[in-house]
Amino acid sequence: MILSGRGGHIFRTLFLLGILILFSFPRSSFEQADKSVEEGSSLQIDVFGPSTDLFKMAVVPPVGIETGSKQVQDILEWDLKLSSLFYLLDKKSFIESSEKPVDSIDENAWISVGAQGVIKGKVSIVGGDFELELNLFEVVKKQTPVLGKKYSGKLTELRGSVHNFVNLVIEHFTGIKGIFGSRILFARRTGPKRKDIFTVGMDGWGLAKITDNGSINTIPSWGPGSVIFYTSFISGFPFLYRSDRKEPVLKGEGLNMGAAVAPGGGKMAVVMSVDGQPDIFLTDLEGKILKRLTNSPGIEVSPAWGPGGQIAFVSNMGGSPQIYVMNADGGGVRRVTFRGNYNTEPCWCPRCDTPQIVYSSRDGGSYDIYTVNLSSGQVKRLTESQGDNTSPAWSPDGRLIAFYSTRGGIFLMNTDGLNQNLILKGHAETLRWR
Amino acid sequence: MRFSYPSTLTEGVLIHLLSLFFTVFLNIITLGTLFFISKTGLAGESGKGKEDNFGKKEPIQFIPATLVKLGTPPDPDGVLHRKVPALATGPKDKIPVSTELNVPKKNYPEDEKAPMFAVEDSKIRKVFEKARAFAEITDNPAIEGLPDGVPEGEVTDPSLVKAGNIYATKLYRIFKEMWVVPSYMSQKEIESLMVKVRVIISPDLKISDYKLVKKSGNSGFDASVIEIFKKFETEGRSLPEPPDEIASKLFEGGLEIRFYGKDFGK
Repeated sequence: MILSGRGGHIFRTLFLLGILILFSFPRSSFEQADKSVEEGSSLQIDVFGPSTDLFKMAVVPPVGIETGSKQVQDILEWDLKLSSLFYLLDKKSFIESSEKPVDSIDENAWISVGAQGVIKGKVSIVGGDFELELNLFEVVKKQTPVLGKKYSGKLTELRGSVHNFVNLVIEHFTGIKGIFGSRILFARRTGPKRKDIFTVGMDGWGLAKITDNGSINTIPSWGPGSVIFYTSFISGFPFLYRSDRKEPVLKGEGLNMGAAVAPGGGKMAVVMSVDGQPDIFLTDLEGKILKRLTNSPGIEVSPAWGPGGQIAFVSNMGGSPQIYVMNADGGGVRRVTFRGNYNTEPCWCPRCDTPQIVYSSRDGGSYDIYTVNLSSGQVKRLTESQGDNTSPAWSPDGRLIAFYSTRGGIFLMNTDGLNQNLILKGHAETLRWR
Repeated sequence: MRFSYPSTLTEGVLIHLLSLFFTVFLNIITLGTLFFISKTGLAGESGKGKEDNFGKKEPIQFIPATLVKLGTPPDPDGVLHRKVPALATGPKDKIPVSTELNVPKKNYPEDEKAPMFAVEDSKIRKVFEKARAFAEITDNPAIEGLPDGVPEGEVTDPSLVKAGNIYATKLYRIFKEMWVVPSYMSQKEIESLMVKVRVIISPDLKISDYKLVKKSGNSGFDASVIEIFKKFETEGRSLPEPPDEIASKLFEGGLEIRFYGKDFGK
């Protein structure tokens, strides 16, 4: 009775279900399509030449206490904007339910607002400590995070944690980690007959004063570790100092300036005027002269090392200031700028597919930023008709350029001259980025 | 549906045992089939089907298509016409020519023809070239064609066109317009990549399913192609009506699209 009763119903139901599943399962139309392709009877199209656009990113306000949430969102948005890789969507357009957990997304809600990527997270602040969780989603890939990180620490470390996450986001998309947390070194007028050396984070935060001796301190450069080289008139003469010593490392007659430490460290190119005419010399980091690199009748200044060990510099040996390059031993000198009659302040791209130098050039009465591709000779103008733009410095990853503009301070832009953002107000000169 | 119950216990036991056997057996087959389908991608789930990795580069093969020109239908009784600019575009009276009399003669190899003019890089030749270009420009060129033609079309007689050529061009334009790759990818990288997608089209001209049959090896590039089909889905887009000659082919055999990064930005 058991078998022909309730149990029988269950078995029959299972039996019928099995049959139904087996025979009602739809035959995949891909089978037919695959067959058509094999037979050469399907329609085929080749599409060439996609257009390109910034990756559209939505940053959802992190869940948590309002002040912490806003702070994290502001840092995220500012970093993503500065990176020049993302277009930030207006949060007013977001339609995903706020009840959706931070570790998943509603794909259709984001596709319909045009988002390609989404960042969600949560933050909690207790006393002086924080806990932060951030997740990156790629909308068309999956509804779970493609990158997720958790951070905790003192509140003062919150900005650094968000920078770290953005660096990982950039690495996720490009294969090369972002550089948030890197710093820009520069000299700034701080009073009459007074200049000081400063550093600032690439997002414009964390301004730090390196010198405070009441004199003119200028043309700084990064040395090994936290060491900074700069020229100071504190003794009344332009001697070269390093930030970890009281005594100058170079105190020759005339100029001692423009130190540029070689990529591998251990030696630097400096400008000295031993014969009354500025020339470039190779020294060790203690100032011991190893070799004279230039000896033309003209003036040679502003040495800048390239990633391959070459040195770019400015010389007027051709009649006007132009950019030249030479080997590390002073050989193989060649001119690389031919347009314009006042090209100065070269800075080599540390990580570009083809060797490139960014420099400033005078056009009529104003200065602007240009790049020259050393392989093709192609010159690209990056700024125009927006005040004077000088002192360009290439970012360590080669994606951005920092410069000073009379529009109001230090700006960052991408290598096409687009997405120009003011990061620090006030005067600045001789920018160096590491 | 009604079920009849067995009259005796023995029959009942036997039938139930058989039912049990078949139920278990068929469910195992069913589950096994489902597992196999899910693994091989025959289920054709959107973007999750069978995907090959982009290994060897496929040679690009071109089949030249003859297309009907977009324009106004030609008058069958009239003659072909072409608007010629009212103003003469020939060289002006004063032609800046080289005053150099003794231009050195260059000896050209036998297989290389001497240039049209004796003076190399002659300004006269430049003027002629310029004039030729201007001669084709009119304010309102009369374009003979058909309303359902395409700008790239060359002929005005539809009988000269293979069925599907124009339709394929229309589809090409739609997919090209919708295809945007993220700017974080380098031009060099983009130009080296290709994705092949197989698309199933339902009779209501919606994209009912698609799968990447060949990936590019770059997830950003692949995602840019997937986005096109996701947009079709979320925006409820349809493809244009195909001509009768190819409609059944399109609905039965689907569509295979190769997305090449080559000619990026053009």
